[in-house]
Amino acid sequence: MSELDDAPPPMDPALRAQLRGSKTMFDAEAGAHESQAFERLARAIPGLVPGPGGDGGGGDGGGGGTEVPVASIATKIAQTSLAKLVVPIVASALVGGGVGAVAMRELGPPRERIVYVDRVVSAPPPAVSVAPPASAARAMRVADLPSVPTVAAVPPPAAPSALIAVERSLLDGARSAFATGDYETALERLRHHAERHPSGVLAEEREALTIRTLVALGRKPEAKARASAFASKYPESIMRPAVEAAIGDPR
Amino acid sequence: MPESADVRRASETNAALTERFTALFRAEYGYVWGTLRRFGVNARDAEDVAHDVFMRVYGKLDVFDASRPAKPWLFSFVYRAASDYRKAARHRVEVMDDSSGEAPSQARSAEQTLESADEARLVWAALQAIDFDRRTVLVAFEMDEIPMKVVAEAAGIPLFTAYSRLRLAREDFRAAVERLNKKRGTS
Repeated sequence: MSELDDAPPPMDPALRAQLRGSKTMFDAEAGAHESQAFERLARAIPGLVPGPGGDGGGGDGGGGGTEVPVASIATKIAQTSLAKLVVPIVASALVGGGVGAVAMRELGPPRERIVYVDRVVSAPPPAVSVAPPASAARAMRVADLPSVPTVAAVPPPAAPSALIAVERSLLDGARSAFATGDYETALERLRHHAERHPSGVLAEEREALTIRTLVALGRKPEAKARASAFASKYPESIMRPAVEAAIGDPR
Repeated sequence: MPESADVRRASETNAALTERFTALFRAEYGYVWGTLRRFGVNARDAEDVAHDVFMRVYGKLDVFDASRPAKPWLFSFVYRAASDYRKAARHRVEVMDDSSGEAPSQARSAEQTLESADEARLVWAALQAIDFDRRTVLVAFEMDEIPMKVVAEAAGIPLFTAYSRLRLAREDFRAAVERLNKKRGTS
């Protein structure tokens, strides 16, 4: 079964043209923010050098031509969130107004930021006990924590649909980690699903994602072995093309 | 004392990485920004959300195969950021409707005619009338030509569910355009 088997006919050409015709709608907005955005990234990423056209990439980890040494040092220190609060105050107090002002400008005031809430996509989440991923290291504000609790004791599901919802919730967490490139976390969550639902309804999806995650982690021999078993067990799976593409064996 | 070979290699690797990142940023900032906006991120928040996207992109750039197209890979980061933004914003404000979105910036190229500007605003209004789950599929697949497998993976849904959302999104978009055209015609 190919992807096209499930694909709908093409969109109405006039509507599609209308949609695509608006593609440049936000170009001006983006352009107005691009330089500032790159400078902000350069303050956070060692070696990234802002400048005209943004030709960065120097390996010396230094700042741009107009940065003063104190601001450069303060910039590196400011990569810790606590420092963002403390250092400007300390710099102003110890060093004096001018340099402190430079540090303040470079570090900036604490800003309201949208942060990721690393949780499953689908809603509503069932009550489920999930071991915290080992690699979870996302900076979060308390105010942004989900209002729906995500950890609870596991009640015995009362119906098959409840079982599937529990399985899907676990797999969604693995998929989310995979989608953002956090393959170690994805694998851990897939193992968790396998432990709890070894023969679950979504075992096929779990296995397909496990194989792709192993490839992403560079564990190709293991992935190939599992892909071979997958093909035997699920010969008609719609995920088979994705699995075979991942191991570099398109059919 | 001269640098060890390991330190030199690490420096070269980091330099190559930041160079790749810079090139990626320059090429795709507009795509990231525009997609975030189309996915419902307000103009005042888009800079912060885009920053978070690129920080995550940088963190994973070393495992990205540069021979592959960047947009499908970036799409998963953008989708995730927009999805989380939407969930956080939902706690504070009402669900986005036709009136809550902000019109795109009025600064545009001299070549863009008033007619195309009107069309863009109509499309923007129509997109805002479509819910997030369907809108993201429509924009990604029809506008940005992101493969549906990538879209489905980012959204954490089966492929057939993604195509189902596409069908519904097309209907929603058509209905919204017709409604807005009628409104324009009678205003």
